[in-house]
Amino acid sequence: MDNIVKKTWNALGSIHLTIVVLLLLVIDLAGGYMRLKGNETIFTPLNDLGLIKWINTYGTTYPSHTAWLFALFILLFLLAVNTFVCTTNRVFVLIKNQRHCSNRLRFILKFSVHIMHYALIVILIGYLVSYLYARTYPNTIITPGQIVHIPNSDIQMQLESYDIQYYQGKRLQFLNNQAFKIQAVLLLTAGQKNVQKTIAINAPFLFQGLSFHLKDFAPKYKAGMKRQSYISLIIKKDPGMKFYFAGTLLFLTGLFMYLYQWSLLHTKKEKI
Amino acid sequence: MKRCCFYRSALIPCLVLFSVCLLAACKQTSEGNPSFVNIGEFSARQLPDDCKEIRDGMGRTLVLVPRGQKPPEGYEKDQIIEIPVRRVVAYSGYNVALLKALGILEDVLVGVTNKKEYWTIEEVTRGMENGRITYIGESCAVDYEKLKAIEPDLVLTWDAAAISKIMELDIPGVITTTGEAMNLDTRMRFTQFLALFFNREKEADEYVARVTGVIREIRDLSLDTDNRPKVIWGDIYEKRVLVEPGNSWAAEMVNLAGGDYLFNDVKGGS
Repeated sequence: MDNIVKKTWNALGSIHLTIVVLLLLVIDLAGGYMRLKGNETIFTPLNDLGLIKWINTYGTTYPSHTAWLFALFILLFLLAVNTFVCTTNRVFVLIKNQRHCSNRLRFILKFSVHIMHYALIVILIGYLVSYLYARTYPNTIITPGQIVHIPNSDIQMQLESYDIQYYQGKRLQFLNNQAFKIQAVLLLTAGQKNVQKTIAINAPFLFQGLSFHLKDFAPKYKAGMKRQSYISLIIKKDPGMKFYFAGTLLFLTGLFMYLYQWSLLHTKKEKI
Repeated sequence: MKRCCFYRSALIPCLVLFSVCLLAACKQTSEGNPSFVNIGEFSARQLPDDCKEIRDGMGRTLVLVPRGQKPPEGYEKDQIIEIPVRRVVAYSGYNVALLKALGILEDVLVGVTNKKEYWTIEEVTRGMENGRITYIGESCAVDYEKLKAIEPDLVLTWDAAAISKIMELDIPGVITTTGEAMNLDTRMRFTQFLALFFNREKEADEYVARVTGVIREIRDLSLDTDNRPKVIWGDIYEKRVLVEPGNSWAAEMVNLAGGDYLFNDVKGGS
């Protein structure tokens, strides 16, 4: 029995498995690119429906288009397991051989690469948690002065003001009167707490565990068809976010340790 | 040698599997799962007790609940639409035309955003004359008091800005346009999506079958390929012309009818 467990553990941590999984990932992603092209409407709802609901609807309705994504999940799972087993094996070997390393700092720095590998697993777990447990409100529309209540929370928000800048230059005349920058000021109220937040494209903010992202706005043109003013927000409660941040922090720690180790070795070589 | 055999034995079955996945059908058609229908960016999922969870053109989730029935758990009040809808306001002429195709225009339409002079559909002009259909103001300046007064069960709109105001009035609203331009298939099958609100699925299927047949006939005609007039399709506004992109139903129609649509290479929204 012990032998079987040991064999399985070794097979899961094998470099052969790494190579096969990576090759298959390349093939799968190439196939995915071809399947995705022109069929974006099948995959867009994955962002707000969550993985399970998406599998039960779009995923199973269009199996020939979505098979690559299921294969991707399996391959990423295998890659994560392979990385974990392989890294853990090496960490054990390192700990076993601790007595051969006289310098304590140098010994700790040897873990840098392994920390980076573990960090990638944490980030992958973060993505899985996001797709499984994130709650998304993909289109919260708000017009100037209007007060909107955010579902499943005691938060209310009001669009206090917004400023759209339109291109008026001479160099790119085809962009004339087209919006190129927007900034909106929102007043958020949760119980007795009032907070003013500014939002823009690629400039989201966090409030009470929810992230707010600017998705769309109108009017986008100064001339042409008359449109009412509004902004559309994506509001998200994403427990996976903590994992990304933790993973990124862990990766950076490993990276700095690796660079420090490299600089130590470099200095030593120069002295020789 | 042993290593080489390992790679070969592991890779060959995997490559075969992936090739099968890649070579599977290219067309986006609903292949299984009868409880879920997807029409372009719109979709409908069957829930227990004849309820349906739908996704409108903007990706908002709404639930269709048969009249008098308790709504399913887990949805906000403003996500619930009672069906069949009896009184509807439509912003777009296209939606009004589809109500006619479903044979319910005179029964359900109570408000529009264009004056009587705009309309060429006889049932609409007649309805406006006898006061059954109300003009609620232009789409960019809707009179919300008038809208509230006519007590619609549903507002069909393309205007995202209107949705939040309509919701404030406790009237459900559905976005009937999409970010990406609708192709011909979606444009036709949107009738089946709209039919869900009025329990008119059978009529919608018949309509789609009829129109699909006509399109097939046009496709089968051997048109003169040497003489393809160049065509653009768009709307002219002040200092701006908005054209339909190559992925739109308009471009498909032009190409089908033997034209050469000039923006075939441009993809985008309508």
